Amino acid sequence: MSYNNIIKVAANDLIRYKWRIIFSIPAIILITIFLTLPEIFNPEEPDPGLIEKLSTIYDLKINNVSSIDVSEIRLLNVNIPFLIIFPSFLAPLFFTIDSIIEEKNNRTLESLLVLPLTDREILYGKMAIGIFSGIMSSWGLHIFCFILALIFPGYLLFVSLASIKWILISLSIVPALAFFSNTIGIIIAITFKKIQTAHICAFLILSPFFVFFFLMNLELIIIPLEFLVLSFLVVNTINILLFKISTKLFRREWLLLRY
Amino acid sequence: MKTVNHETFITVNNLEKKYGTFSALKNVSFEIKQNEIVGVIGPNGAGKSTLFRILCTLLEPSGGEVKLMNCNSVENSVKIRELIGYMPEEGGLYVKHSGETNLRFYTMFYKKCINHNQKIDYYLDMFDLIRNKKVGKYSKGMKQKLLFIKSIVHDPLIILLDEPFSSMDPETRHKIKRILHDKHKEGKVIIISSHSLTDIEGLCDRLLVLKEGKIICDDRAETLYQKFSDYSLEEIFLKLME
Repeated sequence: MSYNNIIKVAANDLIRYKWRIIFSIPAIILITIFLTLPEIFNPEEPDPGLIEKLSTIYDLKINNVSSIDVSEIRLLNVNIPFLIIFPSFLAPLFFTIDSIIEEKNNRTLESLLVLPLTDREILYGKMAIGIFSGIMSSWGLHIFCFILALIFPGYLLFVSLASIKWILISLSIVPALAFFSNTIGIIIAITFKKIQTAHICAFLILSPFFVFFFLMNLELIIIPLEFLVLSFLVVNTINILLFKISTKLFRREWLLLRY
Repeated sequence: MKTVNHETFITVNNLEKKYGTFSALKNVSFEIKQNEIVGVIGPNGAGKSTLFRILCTLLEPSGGEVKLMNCNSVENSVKIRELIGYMPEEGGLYVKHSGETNLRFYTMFYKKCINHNQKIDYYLDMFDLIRNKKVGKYSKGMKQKLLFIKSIVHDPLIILLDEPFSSMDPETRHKIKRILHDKHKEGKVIIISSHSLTDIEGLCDRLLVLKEGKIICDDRAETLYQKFSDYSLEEIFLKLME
């Protein structure tokens, strides 16, 4: 297996989808701002007990708890997992699906498979760029948040993101989730030949996450830090399994006969 | 891989290909030697594309064996792909990339390909293709020209052309035939499938006629013309299909 070939396959996808990658980061930022706006302007009575609980869970340094609006805390509960999970999950999933299905439909996959490359080199090239897009979307959003935190230091949402613990969580969970969604994207892309059907399938897979966020928004679920560490271990275990399935399925004969 | 005695470039022994219960190829056997231009003809569904795809290592045989340059098509598929140039009937090009970018991308994977940038420039000029124009804006004929260039630019030993003349003007056909004759003189093997028998008439040394997954005729073109004197290739084909 040649790493050079993997890089070339990945670079081709990067060139093909450069505008999609460039615009994905501001798009996710805009979605995040759009989702947080109603929460910022939602007047509610502060609940000091909940604020204290969340500040402990999220490792926050809050001196005057009573001065903080509960809507900001709710925002924190929803958006921290959202910021970490959503971009790293969304970008690789759709990026991989589009990349493989478009290659199948335009019959460029056939031309790619005739090149002196192994199936794994093609697969790893596709995976590399999918994971890269997820990591860049998520970390790009974090960098954006840091910049906002510097400009608006009182904005509680971004206080937690500046802590070492949260940076470590982001560094570990984001690649794991990007890998997870990337392998799912590959399995979907191999299985379906129509891009619309594959997108519907991807949205169905994403739907539990939306339910999860909705429940968090209603304060019915509060994610403790330990949960994120545990989820990292679970996701990586699943990743090994999904990786084995995707490498088994990504065979030229299987890909070509599913037109 | 052996580097000497490449007299026989392609050996196909009792090749079978099944899609579920349907047999696309049944006991197909033939040999192709260096310097041969072989025409593969047959009606729709005869198994031509399946045969091409197996020779390109895109598909694996269900039975039998295929060897290219003494390399088994399943065990040494990457080595074989290094020696092959394949022109599909359609598709196979990145429509958002320019013609030049497409060719540069495909050639960079061939280790033995030298001076490929000069070759790309040479062929793009030869076929009057605008190098910076996106392939999506190319006409069907221009796309076919680009596919043809893609199949020969890395100087492969075996050239497989699936319906190469279907959307081409007479001038381009003439150019392609001239290039194929030059490649033939260099000792390359060329395999062409075509529906238009007039296009391959006079170009191929040998003809393989496929019907329902079986070879019903494998003969020198000259022998066929002698056998069916006063008939055109199209008429010979129709007689064989009877």
